[in-house]
Amino acid sequence: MPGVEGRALGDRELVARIAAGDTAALAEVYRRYSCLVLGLARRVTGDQALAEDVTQEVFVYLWDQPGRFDPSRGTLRSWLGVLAHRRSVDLVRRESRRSRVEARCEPDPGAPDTDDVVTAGWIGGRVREAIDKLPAEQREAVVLAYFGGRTYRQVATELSIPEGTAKSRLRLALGKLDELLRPALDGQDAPAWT
Amino acid sequence: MDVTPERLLDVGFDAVEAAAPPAPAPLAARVATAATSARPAADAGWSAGNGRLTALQAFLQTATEVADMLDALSPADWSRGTGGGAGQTVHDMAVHLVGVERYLLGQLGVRAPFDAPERRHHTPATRQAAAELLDEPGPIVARTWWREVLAVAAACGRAGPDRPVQYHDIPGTVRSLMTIRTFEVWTHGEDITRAVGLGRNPLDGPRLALMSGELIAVLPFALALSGQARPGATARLELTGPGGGEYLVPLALGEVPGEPAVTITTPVIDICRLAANRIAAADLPVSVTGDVALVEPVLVAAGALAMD
Repeated sequence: MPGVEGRALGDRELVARIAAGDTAALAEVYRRYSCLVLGLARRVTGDQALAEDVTQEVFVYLWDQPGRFDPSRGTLRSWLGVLAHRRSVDLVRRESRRSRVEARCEPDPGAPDTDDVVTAGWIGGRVREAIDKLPAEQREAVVLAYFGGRTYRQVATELSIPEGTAKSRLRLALGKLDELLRPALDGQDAPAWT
Repeated sequence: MDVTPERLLDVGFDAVEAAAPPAPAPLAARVATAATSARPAADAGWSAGNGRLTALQAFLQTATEVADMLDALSPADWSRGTGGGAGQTVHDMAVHLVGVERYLLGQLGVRAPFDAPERRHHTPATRQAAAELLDEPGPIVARTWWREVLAVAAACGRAGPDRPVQYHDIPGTVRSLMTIRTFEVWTHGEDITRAVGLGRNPLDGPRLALMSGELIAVLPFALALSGQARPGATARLELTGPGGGEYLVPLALGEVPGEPAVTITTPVIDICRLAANRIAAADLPVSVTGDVALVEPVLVAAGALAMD
């Protein structure tokens, strides 16, 4: 949303305006992130109507509780994405429990428990699978950075490689992860929750 | 390039976003309706600005800039001296900002008000109001301040711009309160940038116009308060630079402007710094035509409402 002086507003300022009750700011955040929120919700729930319910819930939550977003800890995009994922998982759990009660039958003991699978985090699982497919030298760099929270300089030190090499391995790894994740997240192998 | 969990999450989110069709059009309206049912939108008075920057927006823009700056400070920056003002260090200054927002929330009826009837109570009372933060790390203070800014935003949004509100011994409205707070947050932001060696934040035209307009509006009150009123006289102020403008100011409370006896030309940003007590009247770059004896009362009054 350009401000009155023609500048684009950042996430923190938009959230502050939302706190003030500015509906135009909410509309701008929705314009920026509804595609991601709805897309994530649709992948997890596998259902358009449920995904729209999640999308509504996520943006109403931001409107009602803007102080829950802490800009010093990450971007609004990530916060909304994680929120959409969690809310979708919660919704799937609720729907799953209701279906079980309505069907008055026990789940197949041989099948993975829906709650467990969901709790494991579908996106997290896809990311980990993609990391396993990386060449070893890229994998060890990205694991140090991702799971160990190291900077590329620390990765270089720990692997005894030049900083430039660490940087290039991480860049290649991210590119490869992007390639691997796109089809994985493209709905072909999305879990069928319903 | 550092690979953080957030960066990896972004890679996943990019893929989702690239493959997702746009949200269906009716969903946006459904979200908007549900949101305003959960919490009402801001008072309609705030949207009466016809596209001009409101005082509430100016405050939030300025607070955002200062909050972003606080987030970027190193641990050593927090203990740097600011050279006076409301706090001796950057940390003290940030605690002071928390205290002021809490004072405002009391004045707006959201929290219990505390006793600070005059401007001389401003610094001690606001320090006391946030005393539990004095030994907390800087980032905790910064996070607390941001939460209080959001609470002030919500309270002012609900109250509307025209609701009367008292700021110590200065009567005004929520609109003027937000303009004063824009002034103060900008001033303290400049105190902090100076302390940590960053460049000054000169503000943009819309905010300077808002702040100088408020200053001009209260100048007759400030002349009376500081004992500098000159009944029957009018000054023309020519404020130069982005956000500047020309104003005719009666030099006594309750009078209407007449023929100007003096014209004072000065950069708008410098008169704002004078009003914030961050530049001395003697150091203000001015050019004067007409009755030079009227210059001093105007400049003294312009700096008379500074808090700290």
